Amino acid sequence: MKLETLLKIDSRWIFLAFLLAVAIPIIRPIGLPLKISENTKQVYDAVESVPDGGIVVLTPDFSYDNTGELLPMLETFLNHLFTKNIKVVSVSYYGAASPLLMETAMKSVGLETYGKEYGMDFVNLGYIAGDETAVAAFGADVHALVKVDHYGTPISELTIMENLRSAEDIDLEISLSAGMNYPELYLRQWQTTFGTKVTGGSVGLIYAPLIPYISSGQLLGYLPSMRGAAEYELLSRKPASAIVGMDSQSLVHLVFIAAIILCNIGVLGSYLKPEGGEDET
Amino acid sequence: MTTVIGKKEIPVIIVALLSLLMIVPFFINAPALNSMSTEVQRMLVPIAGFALILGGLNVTLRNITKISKRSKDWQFSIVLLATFVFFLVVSLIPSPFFENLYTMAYVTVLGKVNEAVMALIAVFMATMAYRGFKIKNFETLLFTLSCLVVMIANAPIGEAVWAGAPGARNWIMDYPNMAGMRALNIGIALGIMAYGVRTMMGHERIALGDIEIKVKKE
Repeated sequence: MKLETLLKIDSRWIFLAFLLAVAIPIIRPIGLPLKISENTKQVYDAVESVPDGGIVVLTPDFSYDNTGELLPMLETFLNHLFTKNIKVVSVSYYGAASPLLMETAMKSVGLETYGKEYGMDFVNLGYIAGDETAVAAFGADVHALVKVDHYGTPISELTIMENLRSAEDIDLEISLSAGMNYPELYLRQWQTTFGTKVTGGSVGLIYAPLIPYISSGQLLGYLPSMRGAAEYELLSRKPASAIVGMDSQSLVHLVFIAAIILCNIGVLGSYLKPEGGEDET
Repeated sequence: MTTVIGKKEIPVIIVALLSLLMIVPFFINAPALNSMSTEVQRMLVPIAGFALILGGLNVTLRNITKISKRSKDWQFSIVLLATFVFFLVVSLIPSPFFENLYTMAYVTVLGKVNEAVMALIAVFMATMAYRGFKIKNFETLLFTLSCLVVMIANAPIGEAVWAGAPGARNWIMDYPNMAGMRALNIGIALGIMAYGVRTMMGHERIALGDIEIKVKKE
């Protein structure tokens, strides 16, 4: 076989390899090892360091297109938070889908499982339009900006909101984001002004640009994609959907790596061709 | 008076004053200024809500025009408008039935379509990896090698394949990546500051709605 024929593999073979890499481990899990990174431990420690009765603001700034990566992360955070005596306030600045995703996660996690009560231990404030301006206004005076929760209940009737007046009262902000600008908003408007601690997780695509904020200590660790969620599930001893996806993710990465290697063997073959072979692009 | 403060100067003065009101409380702890700044921020949130309504109206008008003129792919506009009206009606009627219908339609239709599109992107990335990472010169060699290292290290199986992968990945992320990102972030921040100052001083004509420059260029 001539090496340059590797440059002409039909895309359908790659699609088939991708499909098998995703499907086989789901049907028959392999159980590949997973090492917990320092970054994930840092996020876990940030949640653990929230004082008894403290307030955590959880901002699911993503939509349905990112549920594969971020919904398991949201669920694992909720599972961990509800094992502790922490008040969880959910609010989103991303779009109308975010409060619905929070509802989906809450159905999966279940307040009653942990003996928690809506309005006392958890509240869903829904979506607030206005992006960075809304984040700044929320940080400055929560009660001036938000009048009702996602279901129309006045926040004055919700016990959990009594001690949340401004970003100064937030013990930890957990940002789950599909866009790089969201953790930056909280850093700019809440951390710089009020000293709020910020952590969370994001889709894999935007993780690399956020690394400078982790190394500078502005972000107290940040979970990258479903892998981060899987490591967090292991740390919090609550294995769930992210762990299930890890075998598939390993095999899909191997398919990508194999594709890159194969195409470059083909490129090498075209260079070694006696008459000067042409590259097929 | 009109010769000194014309119709172009008035918006510049408003922008400059409001911008200063936002900036100054960052540096000076003056309770009066702080409360004024907070009040302005709070006022901007309903304005953002109105912007959403304006966006909805714009989409409706554009698609009605498209349908009436039978422009290219006008049939899609009918689907868009029907979906728009459906979601508008079910979300505005305060009834548990319609609330459930809204949630169900959003989660089971729009949500699943979004997920499917994202999944398709992942599948096409596989062929992109095959066609895009061809080593043709030194730069593409560096690019492909760094991608391979990061990919191996990011895969949960990565460490079993190559024990040194996480260390190599961390070096790439902590030095070349971080240096590049810091430079980019600082550059963007300085650019935004410069843009802000130019807007406050009235030098950014497009920001003030002056579209004459654009029209002339076209």
